[in-house]
Amino acid sequence: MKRLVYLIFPLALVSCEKEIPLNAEVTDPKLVLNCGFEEGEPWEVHVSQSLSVIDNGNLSGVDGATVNILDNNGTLLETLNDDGNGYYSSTSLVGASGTGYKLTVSKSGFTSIESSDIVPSIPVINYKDTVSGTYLGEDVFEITFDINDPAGSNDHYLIQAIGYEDDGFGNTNEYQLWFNVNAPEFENTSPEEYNQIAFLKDGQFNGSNYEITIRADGWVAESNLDSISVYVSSCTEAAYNYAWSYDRYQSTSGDPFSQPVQVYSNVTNGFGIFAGYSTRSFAVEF
Amino acid sequence: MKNLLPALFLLLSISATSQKETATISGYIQDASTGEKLIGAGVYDVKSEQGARTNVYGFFSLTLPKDSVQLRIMYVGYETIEMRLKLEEDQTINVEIKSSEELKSVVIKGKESIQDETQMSSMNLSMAKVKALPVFMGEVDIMKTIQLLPGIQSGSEGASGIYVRGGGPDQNLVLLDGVPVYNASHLFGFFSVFNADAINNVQLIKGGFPARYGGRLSSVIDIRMKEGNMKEFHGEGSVGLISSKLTLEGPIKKDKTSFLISARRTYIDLLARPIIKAAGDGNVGGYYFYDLNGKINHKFNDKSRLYFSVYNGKDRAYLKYDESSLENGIRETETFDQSLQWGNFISALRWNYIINPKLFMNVTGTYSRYKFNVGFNYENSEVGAGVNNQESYQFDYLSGINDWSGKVDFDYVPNANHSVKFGTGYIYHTFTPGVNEVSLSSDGSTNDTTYGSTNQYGNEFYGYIEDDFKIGNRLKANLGVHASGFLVGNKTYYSIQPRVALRYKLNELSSIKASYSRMTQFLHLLTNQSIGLPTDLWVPVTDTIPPQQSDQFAIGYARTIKKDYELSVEAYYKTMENVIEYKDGASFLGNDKDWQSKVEIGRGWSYGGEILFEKKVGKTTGWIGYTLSWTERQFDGLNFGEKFPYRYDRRHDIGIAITHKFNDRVDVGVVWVYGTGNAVTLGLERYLSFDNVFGSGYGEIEHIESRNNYRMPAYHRLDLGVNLHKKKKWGEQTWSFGVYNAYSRQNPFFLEFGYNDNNQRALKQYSLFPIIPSFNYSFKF
Repeated sequence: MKRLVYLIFPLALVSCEKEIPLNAEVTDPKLVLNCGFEEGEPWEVHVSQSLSVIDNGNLSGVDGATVNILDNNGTLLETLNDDGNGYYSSTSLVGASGTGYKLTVSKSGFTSIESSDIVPSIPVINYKDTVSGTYLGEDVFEITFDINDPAGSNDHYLIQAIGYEDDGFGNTNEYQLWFNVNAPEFENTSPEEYNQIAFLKDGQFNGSNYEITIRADGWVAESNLDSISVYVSSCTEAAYNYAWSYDRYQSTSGDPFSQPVQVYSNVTNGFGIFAGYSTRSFAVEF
Repeated sequence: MKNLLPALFLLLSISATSQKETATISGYIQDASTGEKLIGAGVYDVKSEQGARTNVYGFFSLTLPKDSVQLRIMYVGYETIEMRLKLEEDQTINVEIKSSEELKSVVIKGKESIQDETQMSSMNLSMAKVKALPVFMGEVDIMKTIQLLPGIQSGSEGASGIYVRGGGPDQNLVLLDGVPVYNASHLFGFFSVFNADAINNVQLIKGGFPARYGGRLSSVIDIRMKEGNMKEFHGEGSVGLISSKLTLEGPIKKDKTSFLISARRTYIDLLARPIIKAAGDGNVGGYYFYDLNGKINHKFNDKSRLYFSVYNGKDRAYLKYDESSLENGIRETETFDQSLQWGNFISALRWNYIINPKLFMNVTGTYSRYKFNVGFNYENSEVGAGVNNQESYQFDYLSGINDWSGKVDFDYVPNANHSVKFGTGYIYHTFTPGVNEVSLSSDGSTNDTTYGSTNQYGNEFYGYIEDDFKIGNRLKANLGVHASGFLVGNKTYYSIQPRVALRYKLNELSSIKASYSRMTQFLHLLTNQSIGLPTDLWVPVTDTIPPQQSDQFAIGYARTIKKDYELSVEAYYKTMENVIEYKDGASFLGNDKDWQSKVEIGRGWSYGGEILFEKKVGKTTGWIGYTLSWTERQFDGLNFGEKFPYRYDRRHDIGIAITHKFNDRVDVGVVWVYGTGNAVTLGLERYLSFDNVFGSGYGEIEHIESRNNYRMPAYHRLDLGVNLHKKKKWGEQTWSFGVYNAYSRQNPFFLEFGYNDNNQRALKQYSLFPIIPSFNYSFKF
């Protein structure tokens, strides 16, 4: 922003900079919950605390909290183990598709927080084809597949693609690929914009088979990649809102020409995200 | 609404037929020394106590019973003259009156008093007042004077943009000789495009809009250029810190044809160029703006006149860089050329014709263009030692709007109790809402790409009728309707907009007023909240983006106190539908999507009260204005659907502007402003993101509780100025000395979080202008 001012108005060179008091109520640190849970997987939760934006302290995990998983009726399912550094995990409990969960976190000195969400249904995807070609004058590598969307529910999807390469020394390198999807059903659709995550809602194809073509840069076909895996996650609205707003938040951070982004949170009395998702993938071998 | 028009015409016909044995006096009222038409001058028959005012072309029509009449002609700053006539048939009189300055005495009596007018929420600005007030950098600026009025908020420090009764910057209809000006800013908003030397009259309306105005929600700023002196050749000019200007006017044929030409240019770039060259580091940069105003006015006869006016203005900031090096026999040359430019071109051809003494016609054809362009060109070459590599990259971002329009307006004055205006018009819009052009050339092959939005076209049409009429001795009303439509693509929008203004006179010195107006706007402005830039995009309504609409109610009390003082107190409530705002994270840069996908549609509210206490005559003149207001916005897709304060929601706003004339040689001016700080969006708490604790990221999130959740510190500033006039053989010279921000208040321009000297995170405020002295030398001959 400061550079922008210098660019647009030379008089700003004599402008004044001064520290002013933050005229806001000094808020106590709040508990922060980060938890993404999925079908068939044990629970892993991270608890930390927020700081004032002018506090120099490091953001760190909160240990010694009581983290409970409850079902929709309020019945305690499990109290998670404290693994240290703010991490808590279940010993036996795993997420079940279509089931709702509530999580509560309490710790002395903090206001307790809670949140609820469900594990969404598992996405049904079918790989169809790959083609090397051109799109808008650029070499592209296209991967086509379809999603069999369940009827009667508002479903949300996140799509990612990861390339794998054996480095010849027994290690596998992973590359998260940038790709383009040009279809109006996508939140971040555009002929020119390449993203690492595509955001998709089923509003236009609810209950039907929806064919998707993602286009990675043409170098993919000529690279040393051994395979590409496409991951499709069905997620709850909360997970989708968090992922979408956080993606915008990161991509526009520091840009004075952009509107500020509010990152979504579904945690009562605190910050963070508690959201369910289910992921399936397919691999394209080279 | 259906019954409004028949009722209006019924009233008109009853009143017209009830008058018997009448005759009409009509004509123009103009300045005796220049022939300049006087807008809003009063013509009053003392015997019958009936009166009329001149329209924006200086024409009046007054129908009176056949009898001897005693006419009084009045205009602020001019002598009041009286004339007796025997009225037996229709008569045309063109009256020339002398300014009080010319008379060397203060014979200044007002136009129609504030308590007599039906119009509320309005103010006329005298150019003499605008020029007498202290100004930023010595540049007289109409828009900055308007900012001092109640109900009008300025934007950022030093900027000339205005926000009227909670409206956005797009909701002001800024007219120059009846032609819309789409970007009224120079120098990134620090000055307006209006050269005060070329301006005759300014009227601001912020509520109770007469039906003749339409197309914007929040205000009308009707600026009329001078017509050019019909009597003799004159000139005026000035030399200041920022710019110099020169205006010449005079008759081409005396009392028949006149011209006016006015030019202004900044010269920071010219002064700095030798210094930059001397530095010799290969960088050349600069900035300038210029304006050109021109007008020709031809009188065919007493009934027919033709006017042609033109404005052309441009801003340009540029940076050039050259570097050359020789290594291993290879010469590498790099050049980089970047520029940012924008400007308006406006022209209007108007024909005034008096069809009969009661019916005046104005036909206008106009063209208005606003164009913005930012781009750069980079070239790199490596030549020698068997190497010959050439590459270049050029990028241009273009946006703008073009309008062709035609309209015809009529003033019909059937009798002294009615003044009817009606007319119709059509505008053909061409929008260029952001096109990117990229050209990449490497080793002989070139790749050109154009992407972004494509041109869009709109057809806007409208008609209106209004009648300003008396009902008995106390009640006066202005009823009207403005009907408009907009055709874009295959979609047509229509709008019927009723306008009602009432005045009830409590006694000779005071009245209460009320108004209601619905306004519809078919254009939107995509504007960035962070900083006002010429990059703001004008876009039309579309299939999915509907027109903006407002409904405004206002009630007020007006009183003249001890003849010289006027008090106006008003309260208003305004709702706005279909206002647009950028989505979270949307940016005008990297315009890779159609603009419609970047915006949210929502609604707004603004309500509050305003007090204006003004002294218009005497040695000390000026006003004190105070506004108490609330302004909010709500969008389903922003701020999680919750209401939030508008960026320029300003709880308290005070403007004081006073001038005092000691004698013919010395006058002084004082301006003081105070405003609650702007609302900005700041994250006040931070926490770890999901990808930080479970992924490979290092993300922290700054939690933003709500859009515009934080108030900047209050804004206040004192400006002082003194003008020293001296008569010379050849004319008059004036030295003006001013101090902007006299107590050097560090007003906030923007806030950001950073680190202080102790390496502690802190909130930092950046201010632009400390105390800034200025001077200006001006002359008239």
